[in-house]
Amino acid sequence: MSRRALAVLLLAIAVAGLLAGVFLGPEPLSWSVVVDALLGRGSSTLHRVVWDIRLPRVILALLVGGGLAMAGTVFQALLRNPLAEPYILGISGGAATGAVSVMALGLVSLTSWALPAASFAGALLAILLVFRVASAADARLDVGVLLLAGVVVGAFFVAILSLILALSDAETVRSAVLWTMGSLRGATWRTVLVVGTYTVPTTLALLGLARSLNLMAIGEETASYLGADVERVKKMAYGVASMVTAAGVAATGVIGFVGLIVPHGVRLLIGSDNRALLPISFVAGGAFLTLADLVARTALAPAELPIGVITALVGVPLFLVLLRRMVRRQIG
Amino acid sequence: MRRILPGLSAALVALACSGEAPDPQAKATNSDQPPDGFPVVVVDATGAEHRFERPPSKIISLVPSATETLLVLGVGARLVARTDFDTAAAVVHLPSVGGGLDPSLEVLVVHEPDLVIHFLGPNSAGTASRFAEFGIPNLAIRPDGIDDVRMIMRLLGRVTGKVALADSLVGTIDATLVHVAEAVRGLPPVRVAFLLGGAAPYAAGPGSYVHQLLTLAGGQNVFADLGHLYAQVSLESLVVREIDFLLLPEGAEPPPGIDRPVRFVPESIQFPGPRLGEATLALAKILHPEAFR
Repeated sequence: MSRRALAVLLLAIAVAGLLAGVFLGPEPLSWSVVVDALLGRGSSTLHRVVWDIRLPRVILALLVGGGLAMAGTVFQALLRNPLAEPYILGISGGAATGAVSVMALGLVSLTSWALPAASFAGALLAILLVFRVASAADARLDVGVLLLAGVVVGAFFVAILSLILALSDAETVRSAVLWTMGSLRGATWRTVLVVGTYTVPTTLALLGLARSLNLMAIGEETASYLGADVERVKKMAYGVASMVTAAGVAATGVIGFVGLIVPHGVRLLIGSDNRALLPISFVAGGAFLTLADLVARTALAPAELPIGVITALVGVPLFLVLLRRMVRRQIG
Repeated sequence: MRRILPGLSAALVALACSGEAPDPQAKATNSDQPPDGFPVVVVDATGAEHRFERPPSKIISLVPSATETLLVLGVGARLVARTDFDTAAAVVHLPSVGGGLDPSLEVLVVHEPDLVIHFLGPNSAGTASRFAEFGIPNLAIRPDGIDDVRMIMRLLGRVTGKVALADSLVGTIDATLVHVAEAVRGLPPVRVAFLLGGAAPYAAGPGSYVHQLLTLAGGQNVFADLGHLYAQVSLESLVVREIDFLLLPEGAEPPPGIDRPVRFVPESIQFPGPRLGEATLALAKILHPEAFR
């Protein structure tokens, strides 16, 4: 498939997902009612359902899904490892430890900001710790050490998390488990604003790194001969992709598979030129998470499924089909 | 006395559930004059004050035990939705908002409730802030111990304008508890553990109403040393500690490989509401059948 065709197709899916997310929900509303609500006509309650519940939720899904997919693409390029995904360097462990700490301490009932703030702080702590370890030897960032440090720091945070949970009551354990499965139920315009403030500039920054990331795929030494400031690119890529992930995880909990599967899927379709891969992954990730969230909140309505369940259940088979097609093509 | 009390509570429940057709206060909501006793100011489990100008007429209770209390207070007709866990015949026809701890905000908002009762738990700040954002009056409750249950009944009585009924409900429950305590007085306590079931069981600890009911019903909770209301206990402790019976709610799986006599307690034990007295009596009959012959 040509890049342009894929980009157009994915944009169309993203727009369709956005519209579907606004027009469909756990409460069946006819399309004319939703149009009226969008235009500010009709009942004020339905107006608020559409404007303050559905719209922020689909936009947050687009931002978080896009951010995760792009962060995953960057991590795969940076670490030169196909298993890399946004959470591989311990961010999810740090964020979860932060989140569960405030749950266990009972601080969550104080303010609705305690949970996202604590998980963001936990993610930042993990990012800084991993960065310090990986750049300890000299000023250079060794991606092999980065990967190892990230995985180990992640494991350490998971141990702390498990310790807190082992000492907690049943309620906290339940909340923590739900949090680690991810959900967009907390989406408000404020969350959209905060996540957007992180995601939009970082997305632009990562797009600017696309050419250098291409060069790095050949090897760091070659890339530096070809004019890339390898150390700067690595640190920028690590820092910026981590921040996108941290903002997403603070807003929605840990949503798995988007950052692993979407970049690979897009790469299988259009190749690994990051200049096309990064923006197309963003759109694909956003579209994917918007549709996954639509399933999460309507499949068993009014009950909600954890979104991580959908991203894995739908994403993995889709990805396997793509992978199989690609393997066949290479043999044939 | 022994025979009368449970019968009385059942009669009270039946009477109250029979509906609220001649309810002067519900009619009064149409006029500008606030009904008798209103406005009321109540304090919920968060410590926040809530003012009600008139009794709410579109109530959603996200806590099944509170739903039962509202039914007994005769305001079932004011409920506009339920949770997936409210399965009583009186409410099962209502549309559901999903789980009680994580309801669908959209579905809840569409019903335009003027009162939402919700559980104060680890996630409730987020939930309550959404209610506030949508201007939905809401009360947080936490029925941990028997005192909390009494307080919640009186709270619900005040906001719905059913103070007298709420007082008599509390009185009936207290009378049953006294009756049970008298019946088992002087009998050697039976050593029990109340488990929520499963391979990694959670047990009721001190501070929980289950612990208090066990004690009232002539039992001794072998997990009185737990640090939480409900906490996971090791299978080893179930083997080592001296236990006469394991108590489990009906339908729960006993932990595998534990060779202890098991007694199943009626499901009413899981609802810290109007059936609290009934549950205590059932518990006492399991622990001390000889006292009720």
